[in-house]
Amino acid sequence: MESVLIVMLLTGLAGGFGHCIGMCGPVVAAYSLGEQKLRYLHHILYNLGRITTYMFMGAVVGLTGSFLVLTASIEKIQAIIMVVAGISIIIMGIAIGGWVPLRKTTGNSTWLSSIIQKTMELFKGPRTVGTYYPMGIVLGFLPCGLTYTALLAAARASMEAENHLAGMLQGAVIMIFFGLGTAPALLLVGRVINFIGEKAREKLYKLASLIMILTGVYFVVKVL
Amino acid sequence: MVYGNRLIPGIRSCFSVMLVLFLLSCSSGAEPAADCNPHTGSCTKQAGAYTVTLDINPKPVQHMKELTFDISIAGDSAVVLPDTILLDLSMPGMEMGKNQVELSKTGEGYYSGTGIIVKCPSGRVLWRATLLISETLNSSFTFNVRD
Repeated sequence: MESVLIVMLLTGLAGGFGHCIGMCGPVVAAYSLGEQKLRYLHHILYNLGRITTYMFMGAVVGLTGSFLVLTASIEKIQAIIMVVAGISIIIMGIAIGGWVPLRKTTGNSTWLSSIIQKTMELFKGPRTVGTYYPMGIVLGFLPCGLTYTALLAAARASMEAENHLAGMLQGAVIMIFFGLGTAPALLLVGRVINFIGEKAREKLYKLASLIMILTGVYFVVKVL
Repeated sequence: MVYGNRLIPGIRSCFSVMLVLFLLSCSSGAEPAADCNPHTGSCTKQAGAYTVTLDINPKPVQHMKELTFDISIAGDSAVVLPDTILLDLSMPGMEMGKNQVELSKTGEGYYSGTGIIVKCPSGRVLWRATLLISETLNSSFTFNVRD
């Protein structure tokens, strides 16, 4: 069991830098931009949320001993999360990049401009600390090939467990170690984003917001 | 001190370039071409003095489905083949974690086992199955998987 946990930790670590940065980097960028006060706390909470979801999924595959049972049952939920996350990232990108002139719309004070302004401010941040853990939980369900491979390994390992309960615990612990392994890469992305955000806001915010909008569109298009 | 202040924007720029590269790149290498079509039949490769054949069922080969991998090895009959062998499934240019299917011996030179090829939301469908036995017998098959 110990060797499996070390392998999963290293898999997460290697995958974090070789996979997650490319795939989940824009998501981390989306919530990191506009968050200047919290240094590490929001990243830690977001990653804890993500690991909680992995733990839950690991427990399910450990209990059932089947990877396909889990993926088939969460397929629709994943699609909904991907669309919602995609739309949220698009709105965050528009808000952070300043593509909608908020001050001008305030002057008009129509109900539509007021709604747009409130929506933009909501997505622009800063957000409350309590937002990040649930955000991590929800986004932990985003479909991810690397996570699927980890779940496959959890299902295989738990098949050798003495009983269903042991299998469930084993699956959960394996996925916790995998999640912990992926965290450093995403923490690094988040901190680099914050660092850039503090030092050179204007131009990089525009560039990052464009990447976010494209990522959001990609998320939505992949599902539709 | 002034020199140090000049250095900091450089570091910032490097960080920025790295960040953009990280965010824009889903892959970490050039993607090779497929050399096997498992959807219509089996694939055969020469590995030294041996002929290795891979067959995947059911066809067409799809992501997130339980698949049966059959391997046959023909060649030097003097070599004793192990009872189990591993088939490593990886995605060229993308770190997808360790996914290895254990194949059990079903006859002399014949192996079979079940596994799953996971789906990457990036849309990439190119996978590589590498047979892990010995340095002389290791051979890989690169193929596209259907959604």
